[in-house]
Amino acid sequence: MTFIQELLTLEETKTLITSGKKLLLAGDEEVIKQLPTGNWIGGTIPYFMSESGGISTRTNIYVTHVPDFITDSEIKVYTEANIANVFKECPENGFSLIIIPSSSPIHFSFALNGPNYKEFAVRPLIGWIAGIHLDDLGKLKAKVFDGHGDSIKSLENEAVVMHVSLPKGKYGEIEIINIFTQGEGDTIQFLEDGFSTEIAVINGEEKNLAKYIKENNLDIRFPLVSDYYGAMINVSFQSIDEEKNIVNFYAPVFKGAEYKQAKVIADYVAEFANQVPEDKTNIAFSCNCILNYLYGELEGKNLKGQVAKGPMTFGEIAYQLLNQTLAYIEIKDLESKSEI
Amino acid sequence: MDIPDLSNEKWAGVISGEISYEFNFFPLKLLVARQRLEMITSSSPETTNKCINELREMFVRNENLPNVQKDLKQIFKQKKSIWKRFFGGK
Repeated sequence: MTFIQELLTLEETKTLITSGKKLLLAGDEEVIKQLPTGNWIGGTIPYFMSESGGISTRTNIYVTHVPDFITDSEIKVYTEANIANVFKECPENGFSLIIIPSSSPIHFSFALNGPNYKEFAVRPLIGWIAGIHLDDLGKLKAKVFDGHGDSIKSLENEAVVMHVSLPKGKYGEIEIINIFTQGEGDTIQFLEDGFSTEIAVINGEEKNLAKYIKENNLDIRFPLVSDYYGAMINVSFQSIDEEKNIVNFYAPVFKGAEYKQAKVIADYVAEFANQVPEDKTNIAFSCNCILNYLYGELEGKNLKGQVAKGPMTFGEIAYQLLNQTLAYIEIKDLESKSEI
Repeated sequence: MDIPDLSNEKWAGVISGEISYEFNFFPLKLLVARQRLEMITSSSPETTNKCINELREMFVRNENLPNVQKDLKQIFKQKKSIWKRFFGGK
């Protein structure tokens, strides 16, 4: 089995598209718009962990080749009205690749409601939240692209999905690598689900979270972490509105979940090196978080292993929205039943 | 291992949090965590039955996967019969 994820020029990408390859693309909007139509979906983001290290580029495109051995694929665009069907429409044996534009209503809807979608997590759904160059914040919008059909569709409030069917005997397995673990600090809970909050319940006592963060001098580069039966799931801090004393997050907090702020990490490269399995090579797709790229100062540094390569995104999707996490899907061979 | 039917009480044990598990199957961790939050809000018979159905469906749709089989055995702690332990086979 051959799995390829690589940073290519516009011309190299055009060649792949016109040859009929099925592709997942990540790059700057102005470059992606120059591509021909074909069997591809894409999203905007200019930050990547490439073979030569962390890089920001507005001219190259990160290309994920959908494996040639797949038996079928279907590109579908979802709106807010039907995104709740995404798990139901995943192939019975296969996986689905999804890209959603950041800060769009469908992004927020998916993040808040995804875990309650019909057949949530029954089938592998992996992907990312499209973003933009940080210099363009406030000026440009993230976009996703449906590259098939008569013309490229550039979308600001839709999710693009490529549903991929696998041959019998193969399956996709999604895993995450989260270098953050729960610290020893206070237990934090919330009164309602949401991307922002005024009040948090800290060790059982309601407090204004913004004031609590300031009084305790918390470093908001380190996310809140919740323990999902052994899976550490992050919620990253986006900003604190000091005028209104409101805290904003890059993913929703959920009522009833218990969070602790993450332990401090000094060396992101070392932490990823400790956890990334370098021997895994059957990686159909992988991505990481722009916050890890920034806070870990990963530009020019190399995270080794095929698992660690990919777009550095505005959010990762491994069944649901994640933050500051590396997510990947590995294609494996099913052993015979007698071995299970 | 065959998947026990809905009436097996251990399904309810998973979503109620009575017993703590270290699951191997990553999506199972996400599903059960969500179900636990749901049960905290409402542990009505309707919610419980819905969650049990979802949970079992996750296992049914993925039953051939190695991590799913490990988690199934963990939850239902099936032991080989004394004959199998000594002689193996069916």
